[in-house]
Amino acid sequence: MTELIGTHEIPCLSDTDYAAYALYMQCVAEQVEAQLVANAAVADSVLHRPIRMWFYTDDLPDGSAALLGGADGVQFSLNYPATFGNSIAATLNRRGWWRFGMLYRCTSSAPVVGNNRLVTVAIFPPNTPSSLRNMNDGAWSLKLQDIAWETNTGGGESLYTQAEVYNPGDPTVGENDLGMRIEVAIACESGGVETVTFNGALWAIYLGDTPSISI
Amino acid sequence: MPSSTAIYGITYPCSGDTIDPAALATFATTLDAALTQGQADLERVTSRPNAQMSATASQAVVINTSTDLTYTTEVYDNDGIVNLGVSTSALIIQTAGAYLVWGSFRLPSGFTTLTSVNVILTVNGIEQGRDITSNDDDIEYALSIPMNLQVGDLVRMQARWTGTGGPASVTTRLLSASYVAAP
Repeated sequence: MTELIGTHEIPCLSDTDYAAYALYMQCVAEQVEAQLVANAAVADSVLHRPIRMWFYTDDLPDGSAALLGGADGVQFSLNYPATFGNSIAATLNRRGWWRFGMLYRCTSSAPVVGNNRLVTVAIFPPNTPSSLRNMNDGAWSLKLQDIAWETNTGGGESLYTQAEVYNPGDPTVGENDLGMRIEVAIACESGGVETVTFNGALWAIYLGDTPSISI
Repeated sequence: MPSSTAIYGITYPCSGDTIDPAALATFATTLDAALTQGQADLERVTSRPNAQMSATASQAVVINTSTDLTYTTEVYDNDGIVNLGVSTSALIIQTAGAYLVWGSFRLPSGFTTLTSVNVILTVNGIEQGRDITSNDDDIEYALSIPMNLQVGDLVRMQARWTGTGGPASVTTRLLSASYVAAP
């Protein structure tokens, strides 16, 4: 009688069924191949993780916070599901850990000593009303912020935020967080200039589901 | 007539075939090859390309001039990305894909006024991202951004400063590239 051995249940012939050698070897071959194919699929999903980088420009009122609605384009995109959409306000419909980052630069108006510029990336739960998608009293789940304090006139044009890691599958956030949104907002002060032009980039990298985090 | 599995080619005898030592050897050999391939599939994940190079000696950076920084030491490299015999300034990409590129340098003390300090990352001489600040000397400046890179791409970090006085140089510097995603 054939016995199944080990956690992978490899069949092992008994002394009564040696006539089944050919069938036995075929079973082992197919079982090993099935396990290898499954392992390769996991490896492939890690290697081919979604990553996307958007770029954009916008004019913002000085001293205010504002959401950036749309991107000017996609810098590059690998393995990024089409259902995620093209806009900066992207929907994250894959559960797991993500890494967000942004690089932002003011392209006009010399800064004034003592003023600051603040850049923010926020992650909102799905179906958040637009009225709550703001940086001050919004329903954000996570904010990534960077601030630059000008110490010398003419310097400090850019702000840079390298993001944290966020897990939409965190139990404190809940099951319904598939469909999280990325929103971007800028608050700046630059010495009374009424409108400041920014350009920059935002990126999102899928790190994996909870059991297979790696970067 | 022996048959084989569709993907990994594990060869096994069919009903009616003679099962002799040669048939068993073929089975074992092809099974071993399949397991070796499976191991390679996993190692593509656990051994993704990673490289970093460094230098500590002072390097001159002329005021208001973007300057490619150079390196003297391979810190680590599992994909032939660091080749100081070919380039002392560039990481040379060997595997296409998305990378997180990170660079940092230290600005030594002695500047009278620092109006701005730039960290610039380039690919084939084209700027990919820049951070400009006006903080202070005797500190580290760093920048990290993702890049979609092709085989042969040259990744460099540049330093630039404006102000007055100072040693007009940078000291300890690092440049690294870490493979994030396959195309």
